[in-house]
Amino acid sequence: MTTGLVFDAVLAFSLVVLAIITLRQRTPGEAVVQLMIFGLLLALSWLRVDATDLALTEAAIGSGVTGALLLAALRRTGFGKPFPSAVSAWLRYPVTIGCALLGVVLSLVVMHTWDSPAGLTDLAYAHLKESGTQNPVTAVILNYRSIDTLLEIGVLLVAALSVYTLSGPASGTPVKPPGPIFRFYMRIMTPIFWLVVPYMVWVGGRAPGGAFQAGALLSGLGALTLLGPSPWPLRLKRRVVRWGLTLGFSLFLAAAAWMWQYGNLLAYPPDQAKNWILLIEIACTLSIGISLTIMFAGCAGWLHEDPKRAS
Amino acid sequence: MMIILDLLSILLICLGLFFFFASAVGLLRFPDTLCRMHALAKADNLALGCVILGAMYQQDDPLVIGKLFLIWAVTLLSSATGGFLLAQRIRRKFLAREGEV
Repeated sequence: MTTGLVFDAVLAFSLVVLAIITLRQRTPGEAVVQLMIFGLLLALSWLRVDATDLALTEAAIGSGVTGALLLAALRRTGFGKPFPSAVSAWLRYPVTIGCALLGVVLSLVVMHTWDSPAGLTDLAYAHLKESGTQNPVTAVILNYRSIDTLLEIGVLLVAALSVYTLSGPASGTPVKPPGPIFRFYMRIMTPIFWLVVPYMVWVGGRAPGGAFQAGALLSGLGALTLLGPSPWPLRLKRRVVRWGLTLGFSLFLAAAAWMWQYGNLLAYPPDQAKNWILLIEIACTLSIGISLTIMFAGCAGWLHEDPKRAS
Repeated sequence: MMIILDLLSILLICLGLFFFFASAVGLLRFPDTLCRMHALAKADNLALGCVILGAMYQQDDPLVIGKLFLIWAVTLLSSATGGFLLAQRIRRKFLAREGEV
């Protein structure tokens, strides 16, 4: 008990210190690395409150994918170029004080509601049988509040489309040939990725996992492939990419429209719920993976690159 | 039997923690990037290996033991590849600078 408390205190303290360190870095490259470490520690703290799903997502998307996107963007603007002149004190102090006040208010709210019954947890567990999944988190994400997830997928689609449209002809310096060791690594890791991604989708039905984590993994494979000797995703037909990009959102939307006949948007009938959830998860995994890979390629400036790359 | 397994676990995890500590000290104290990478790679290979081996002794399910081993194997592979790529970049930069002089 006390050991856990000490660990939590150290963890919380290091999070605050790391946040300050991240903000005080001189160059963007250092700041991004600190941010990735911050994301990993944040994932650890989600684990400490038994939110394994969130911890996985935070580690995969918050630390991994975000870090990769930022580093890819820095390839073009420079890792070591110091930040432009500091924000003026007139702006800095009010913002700092505002954030501190917000933090105090939020802490007070959390402490105030500490002893009250655990919100909607009981309700979520009570209807787990009809939700078509055994994992309460998946039930919330893809059944009870699937409308939120639909909109999240929509936001991701809009973001990927913006990157896809706005990035002009390839502007990033092409990658130097990575050499035999990286090729060997990819030869071993690619099949492992293709095993773990479907596993992640499937396991979301009863344990932590699901479309977002699997999609993030898929985009990790995408980014690695883009760095490797044969960046075949760049050579895909535009039409294929566009279909893959919109598949998740359109299928989700179609499901919502189909459910209209049962009286409510996205109210799956209990006996079909599992199939619908699985179908939407698979489609969303593909779309999330493709979206994030497109964003990575777009940030690095390779998106509309001439596909012939010296290897 | 259980006691022996527990003792082995504790011993291995403590050894792992010692190597993690040593590698953190190395990361902070070593003079240049190549030396620091050496310290980091030690953490991934030895320290994580010891901790995972220690954790394996606490498991009955062969599936979980297999997963633990896979974590170590993938980390080994990734850290070796990442270290190689970093070193390659440093070498190329160094050679480019030498060329200028």
